[in-house]
Amino acid sequence: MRPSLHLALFLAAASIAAPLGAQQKVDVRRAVTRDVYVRLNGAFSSLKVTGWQKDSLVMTGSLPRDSRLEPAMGGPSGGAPAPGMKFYIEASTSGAAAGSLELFVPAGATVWAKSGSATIDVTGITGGLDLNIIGGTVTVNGNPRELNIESMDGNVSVAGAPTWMRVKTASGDVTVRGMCTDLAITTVSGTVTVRDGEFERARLESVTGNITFGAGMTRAGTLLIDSHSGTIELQIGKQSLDIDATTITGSITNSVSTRRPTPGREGRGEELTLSLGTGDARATLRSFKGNIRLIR
Amino acid sequence: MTNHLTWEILNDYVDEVLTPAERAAAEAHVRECETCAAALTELRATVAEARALPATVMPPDELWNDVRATIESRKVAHLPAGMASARSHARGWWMTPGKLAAAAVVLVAATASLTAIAMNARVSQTTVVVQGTPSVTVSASWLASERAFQQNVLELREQLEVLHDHLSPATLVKVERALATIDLAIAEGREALLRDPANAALSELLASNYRQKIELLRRMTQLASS
Repeated sequence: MRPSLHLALFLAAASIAAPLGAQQKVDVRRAVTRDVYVRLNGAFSSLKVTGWQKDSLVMTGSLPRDSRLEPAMGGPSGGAPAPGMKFYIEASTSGAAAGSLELFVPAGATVWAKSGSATIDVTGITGGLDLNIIGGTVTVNGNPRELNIESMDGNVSVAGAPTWMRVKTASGDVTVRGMCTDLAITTVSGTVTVRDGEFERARLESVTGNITFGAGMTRAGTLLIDSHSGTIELQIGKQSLDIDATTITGSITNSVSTRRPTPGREGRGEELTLSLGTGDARATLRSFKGNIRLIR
Repeated sequence: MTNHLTWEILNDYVDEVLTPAERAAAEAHVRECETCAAALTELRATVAEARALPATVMPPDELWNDVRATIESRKVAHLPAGMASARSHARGWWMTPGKLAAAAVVLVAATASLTAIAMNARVSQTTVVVQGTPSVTVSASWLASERAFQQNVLELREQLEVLHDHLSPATLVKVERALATIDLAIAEGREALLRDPANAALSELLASNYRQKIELLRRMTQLASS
């Protein structure tokens, strides 16, 4: 059941000003609760979301003149803060998603946004984010409690400390810098890069994309990396870690200790098990025909 | 009547979040439109069933005994046909909006199947006969899990096929390219697993690729239906 369906939706004080050339101006202002749920769906090419310390929602920007913005619907009026708002942007007759929007919401808000090809840039949200695009880019800076991003070939970049994070792409590259308690990234052919910070549970999967993990693991943390043919690179630093690496046909290069990989089952591929330090955390690396590299 | 209620409106109607005016309009439409009335009934039933589901599902203690008995009773298993040949020409069975909700159920089933693939890498073996090749031994439960996976893929594929007009040609090209990449990886992994069926790492890698395929199809189906 979609979370939005559990929300009462209140009428937005929305206005679309007089057309300006081939564009129409968007200016929506509304008092909202601090944990407001905002749903934005439709044809926009650029969306900038900023979490602020005010109990109000402001959406400004411009849309093609013949596109249509349907603001949040229903509910009692009278100035009560709205707990939920919903916007749907119908594409212009040309079908182009050329709208550019800027959305300010309380930092604790949960924002759900979905578009075709779009650039989504989010800053300062501590609530939840659920962002879905086909192409374009998604950039998130901040510490959302929950972060879910899905993209086809759009690149994804996250810097911050979400508590829970899921990123899924087909060919889009994923870059994460920061910390996370529970991280999962899956991609078909995009690259995955995780740097800095510390992770408690991390699962990274690709089919052909290369995966680089250059961050730390918390005590008793678990890291699992699976790839069919992408290269897996684990940059260990001074991490205390138990490592279990397996390839089916690829090779393993160990530059962090003197232990050499052994031939895999039936003489194909390689296997390497080693313990660094006191082995506080555990890393399992598996690749079918990609290579695995362990470096400092 | 051709202008049927949208999926969003139907959901909002069931969840009672429409405005009074929208609700009145939807009710008026449903009174006169058999298609939407049927869809609404089905959606309500699906929602009711979903709400009745337990929050967690634990396998019963006797499950393993059942699995073992099943494996013992099937010492010889035949590899399922390739995925391409398994595609059905049946279309449109799920055309009502309510059936879209069933995609979630499919995903749950798929997840269970894939978990089973990963967990059953070390269980009892059975002999697989592939025409024209020497027999190899793999887990019977693995074969069952793979069949379940193929069925789930087939159902999601059918849904996507019906909805493919809702996606742009460029997006469809991207989807098919990604699916081809995954299929190639699955074919390689599967072939290797038949050569080395007790390889737990291989089984996990194959399960990962299966998950990728199910997940991609699910996402595209959701995207097309919204």
